[in-house]
Amino acid sequence: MTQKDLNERAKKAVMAYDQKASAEVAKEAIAAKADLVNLIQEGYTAGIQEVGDLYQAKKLFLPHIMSAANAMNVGVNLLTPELEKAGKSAGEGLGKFLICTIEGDIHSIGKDIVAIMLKVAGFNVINMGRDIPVKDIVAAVKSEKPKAVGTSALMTSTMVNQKTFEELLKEEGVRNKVITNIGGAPTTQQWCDEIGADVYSENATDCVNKMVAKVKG
Amino acid sequence: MTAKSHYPGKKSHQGTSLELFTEEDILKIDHATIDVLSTFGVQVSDKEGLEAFKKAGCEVNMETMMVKIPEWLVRKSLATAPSKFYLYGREEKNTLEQEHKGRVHFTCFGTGIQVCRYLGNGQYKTTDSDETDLANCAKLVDWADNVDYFSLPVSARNWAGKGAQDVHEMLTSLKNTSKHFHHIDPVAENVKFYWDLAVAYYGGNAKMAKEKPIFSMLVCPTSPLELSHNAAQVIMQGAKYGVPVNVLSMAMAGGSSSVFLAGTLVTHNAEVLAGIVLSQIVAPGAPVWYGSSTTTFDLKRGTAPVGSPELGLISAAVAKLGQFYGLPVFVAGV
Repeated sequence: MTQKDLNERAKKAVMAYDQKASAEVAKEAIAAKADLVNLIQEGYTAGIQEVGDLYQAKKLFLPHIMSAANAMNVGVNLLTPELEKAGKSAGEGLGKFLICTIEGDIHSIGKDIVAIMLKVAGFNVINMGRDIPVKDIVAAVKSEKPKAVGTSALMTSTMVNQKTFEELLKEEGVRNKVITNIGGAPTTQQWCDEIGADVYSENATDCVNKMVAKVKG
Repeated sequence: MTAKSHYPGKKSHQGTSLELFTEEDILKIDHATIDVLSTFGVQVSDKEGLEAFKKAGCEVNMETMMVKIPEWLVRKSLATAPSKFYLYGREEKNTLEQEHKGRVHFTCFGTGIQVCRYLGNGQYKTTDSDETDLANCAKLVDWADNVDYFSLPVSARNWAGKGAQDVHEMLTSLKNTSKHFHHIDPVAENVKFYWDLAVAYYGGNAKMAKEKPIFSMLVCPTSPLELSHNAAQVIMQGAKYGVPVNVLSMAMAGGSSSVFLAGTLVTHNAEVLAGIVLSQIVAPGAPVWYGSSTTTFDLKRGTAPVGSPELGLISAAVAKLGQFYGLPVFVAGV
């Protein structure tokens, strides 16, 4: 069983939404002392990215993305502790992306879809959840040092906190250290410009396209 | 045949109807809903709401915020919720009834965040909406005979970050239409200010403001099966003030509820009934609508199309559920 074979099996397991097969490859790779980082990057990630491309082409849909992500996670979750033991990391990929629903707002479906799509595209996504106080998001920006932070709001009454977030980032002296992203139904490019956020995302696909372009230059 | 001949006891049908269910079908949905409410429960993300449910006899877990609502409380609440109430406009001719199996009325809906401005010479520009746009919409609806009352169509975004946008939306609407105002974006912390405005309209007469509500409010449970802090508070305060509250769920079949429409009806039903129970616990007889904007979730695009054929089916189904429960119904339409 060569590295190439393991990678190919991992990719196939993800594309077949096969959690059992995904786990089997991971276990075999660990036993064979294979290159686990390579397995994640050329195997699992390659599989999820192909699923992502098919979704963009409207040949696969969201349930396929979720199932592929679940299959991938089963394998990666087995590999992660082994990597940590060896003092290695799977890599930041395109960079760390912190995402949450803004303070006061509990809507999360759109934000969760964006999180999955960003992960599929190769970002290291930290999903903080919903109704996250602005000061906690700023604290996370300081401790995690992400490349970008995205806040989602679904109500006209809570999107105001996206402005507060921008102001607090400035006050804490970390605004220029991170790309800020806003999204959610009531938000617009005009609102983004008004509050001084860097990127406005209309939907998950828009977010991925804009962020990949921004990161890759 | 002579001119004096008549039919013996002829039954006739007025208008158009779409009967999706037999009585047994509705009972199945009702029983499944009671099962969900009483054995699984709903999450109530508000301390005051949790305590209200607990006091009323529900099993409440304060840590997980899960509330199990027993069948008897659901039936009792449906017995106290009124089958008819009135929406008042500044002009009496614009006052209208909302009645169980009554007449169908129309409102504009929202809340939009942008307007398309016509610049002349076939040129258009889309910009964020502001208070002036809201005032103009109110005036337009005031003129439009086909719109019975005014729901917040666009947001006064010029106030975002500068003031209480929702309170300005309330005042601007009241000032620019003589029809009843349905605030579809209320903020719990500001309901007392909406009430103050209504009382001021009635010259300080709070009793009249309660008897003749000049405004009403809409809240959405959060699918699946949650009443947020904002929803719980608006329902409770609306009940206390006597302001009609529209408990309107917008589940998305395949996203926040079952991809099967019947399953979606069950959880939608549970969410709305949980909100109605809360209002009746606080103030038996508080006016409420059974509401729905529930639709499908587009699994290709990750959006919630409110023009999907399934929305039509669901709205028709929800109307039957609301009628089954004896309540005035508000559904997403054209």
